[in-house]
Amino acid sequence: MIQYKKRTLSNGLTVICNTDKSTAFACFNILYKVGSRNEDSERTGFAHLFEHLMFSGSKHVEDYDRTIELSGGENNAFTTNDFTNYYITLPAANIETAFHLESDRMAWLNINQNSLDIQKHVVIEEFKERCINKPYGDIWHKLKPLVYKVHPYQWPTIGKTPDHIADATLEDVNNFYKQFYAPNNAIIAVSGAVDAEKVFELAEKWFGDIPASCTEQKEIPTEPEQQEVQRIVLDNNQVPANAIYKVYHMPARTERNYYVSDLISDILSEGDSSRLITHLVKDRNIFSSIDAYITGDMDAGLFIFCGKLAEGITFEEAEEAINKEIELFINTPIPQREFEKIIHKREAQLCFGEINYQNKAANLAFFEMLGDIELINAEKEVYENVSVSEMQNFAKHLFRKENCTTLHYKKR
Amino acid sequence: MIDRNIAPKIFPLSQPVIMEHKTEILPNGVELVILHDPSQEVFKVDIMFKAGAAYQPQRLIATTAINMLGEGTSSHTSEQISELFDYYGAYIGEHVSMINSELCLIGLCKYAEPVINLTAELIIDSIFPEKELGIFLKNRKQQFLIQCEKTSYLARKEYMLRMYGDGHPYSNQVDAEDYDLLERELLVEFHKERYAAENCKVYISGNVSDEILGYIRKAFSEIPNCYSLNERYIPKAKPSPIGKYHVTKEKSAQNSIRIGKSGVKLTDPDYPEFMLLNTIFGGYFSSRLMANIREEKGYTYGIQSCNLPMYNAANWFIATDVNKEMCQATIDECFKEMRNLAEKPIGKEEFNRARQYLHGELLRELDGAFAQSDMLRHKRSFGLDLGLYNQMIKRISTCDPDRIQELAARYLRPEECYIITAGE
Repeated sequence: MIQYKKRTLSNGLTVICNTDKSTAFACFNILYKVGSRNEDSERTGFAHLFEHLMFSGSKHVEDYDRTIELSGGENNAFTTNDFTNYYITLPAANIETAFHLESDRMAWLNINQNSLDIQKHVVIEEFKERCINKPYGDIWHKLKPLVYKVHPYQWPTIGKTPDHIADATLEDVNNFYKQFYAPNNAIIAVSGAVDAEKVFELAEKWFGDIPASCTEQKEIPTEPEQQEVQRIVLDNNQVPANAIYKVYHMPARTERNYYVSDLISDILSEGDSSRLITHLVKDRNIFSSIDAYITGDMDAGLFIFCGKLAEGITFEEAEEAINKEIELFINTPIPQREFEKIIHKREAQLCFGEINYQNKAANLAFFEMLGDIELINAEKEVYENVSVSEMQNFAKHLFRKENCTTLHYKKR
Repeated sequence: MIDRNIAPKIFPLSQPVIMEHKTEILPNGVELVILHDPSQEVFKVDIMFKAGAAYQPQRLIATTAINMLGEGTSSHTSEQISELFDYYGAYIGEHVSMINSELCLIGLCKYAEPVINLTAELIIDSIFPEKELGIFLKNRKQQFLIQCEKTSYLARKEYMLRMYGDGHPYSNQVDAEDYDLLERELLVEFHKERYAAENCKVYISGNVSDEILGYIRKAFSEIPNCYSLNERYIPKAKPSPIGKYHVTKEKSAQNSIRIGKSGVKLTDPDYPEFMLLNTIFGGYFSSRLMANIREEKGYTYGIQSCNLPMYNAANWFIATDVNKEMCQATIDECFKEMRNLAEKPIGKEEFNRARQYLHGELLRELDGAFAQSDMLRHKRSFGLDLGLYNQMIKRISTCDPDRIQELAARYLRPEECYIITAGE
């Protein structure tokens, strides 16, 4: 159970605090409700590029990173399809430094051509490191545009191509900043050895005078239901093993069937005793590794099977093996003990996750973004209340052939 | 209205609070080291054997042995073992270093007994079944081949080879054929000899109630002794001549670079201040390397330097993946930065910042019972304890820019460095 207090400032900024005195540190986490889903299809990778520019300093702070280092802290950030998250962990006594730095770059960021030019190079190298110079690194660039026809999830967060990053202009940067970086589009969550009243007081002091943004947010198109089977074969890849992806559309993060899908993926591949690992890796060795997981996106996301084929196994055998597991899941009763097992595992995950103050700060901000912070504690019960028959019924719907895109990634 | 030009005061950092640990020796010689924190609902057990890669008679044995522990005992199959750990919400992991092989169990206190007993059973009674072993090696070979597609892996492998020589345990070279050559009997023999009570230390942290401690005492007292335990001495390294070595990997989009030389041992009196020097050079975001090669030139997404302490040895290296057109330029800049630190005194602001950052980092390493247990395990395996942290903080607080310059001149010597590149 995570205890927290929450307040909203008059400019729309939400502030949450979880006091945890088991650590001498505190984590200041600020989430902006902007991710690659908010990008223009001809200017992709921009939210992430912008994340890099947020470290360029601001009007009253010469150097963001150096100030944090001087306070004994460290910081980082990441961008997803749905949001951009920045966090600082530092000795709790120095928490006010985090408020100073983050408020300053929310309103007075130092945007300039030189740092844009440099960060374009840095991000292009990051693109190469993650997606080009890495075996299997380009799969999502091939798969996403086929799976999503209209929704902006059709491009990866890093962007469609390095060219989009290279083409970004200072004007784009300014517009993006104005539109998305404002108190009413942000959530602060602090966890650690700090008191809530102090946190609220500091939030008011440093963020209280920053005006809300009134720019209207563009409507994001809903992905229509997939109507037919889709397949894609990619030949001649410089990899030592064939890989297969089977991808199904699934419900949005806040829908009940999101939780049902999550549990289906747990039965199939959470832990070494899960079905896919025991049946297909250890018993029959069809795959050298296999996973079933969900993307957890805010809008309707994906349920993904991905596996590397064991030496000597054909794509037909591999696909048939996955299909058999799906059939088995739908048609054969799920033993009570197997269900209890995945519920215990979730309980343990929650329990281990609550030890870490940084984790808690990130999760508090995330659930607030979803629109119901209480879910951070209530989800456990939602999972426990899913029944095995509900899982089977939904699996039947989820794993419809016409809801599936299959990718064969062939070695040379 | 607040005056934003007035930054909040930065408070001096505290001294680390080192938790008391208890030790006890079980009748069979297993040593227990306990860090109890009653506020947790979970516990962690790290079981460490001197059974690392340095002791293996043939490549891959140490890592295969520990990974195969969960693949069958005389009373449980592989599937039953993983089902039990999963059912009780426990995680079991493994880690192999040059000297040690470690199993790590994390579990919920309320389900401690069955998972502790099962963990002991894996150690005592593993049977290394033939079929599971075959599948394990086949899958691992494929994963290894995937690794070989990465320039960063190729550069690392070549660096260790040049630094220590083929056949030396620290170079830990592996080739694809090694996966086909491993015989079950060697594993069984290795397990029998190395997974022995007098070779075992168990670190227990989190909520270690008397009840949990009781389960551990009982289960780990069953680990047998071994009367033919060989102490193995690390042989002398056979380094290649200092120079530039290239590994060709066709059609790569970037080049990976490793530049390295011998480092500073954990037990060396210079270690604390050398770590401050390393922080300044390439150990944090605003380091000289990052400021120059990423933030000023944009050649890379990241570049760092690390000091890797080992027994009676250490190595220090720079690692990065860069734009392939800028590979030589990056190497030149690395050496320029090394010479800069040796030739010019570091400014007060930068010196102070790095010192504060490292102090904070040392406090972070000790934040919480699990972290303290991990660090205690690591330092004790070098014959040290957590008092090292107090010493380090004291030494870096009395260090000064002149000393940093002196250490840079002694340790950051371009002429002693191997230069490894992997890429087109």
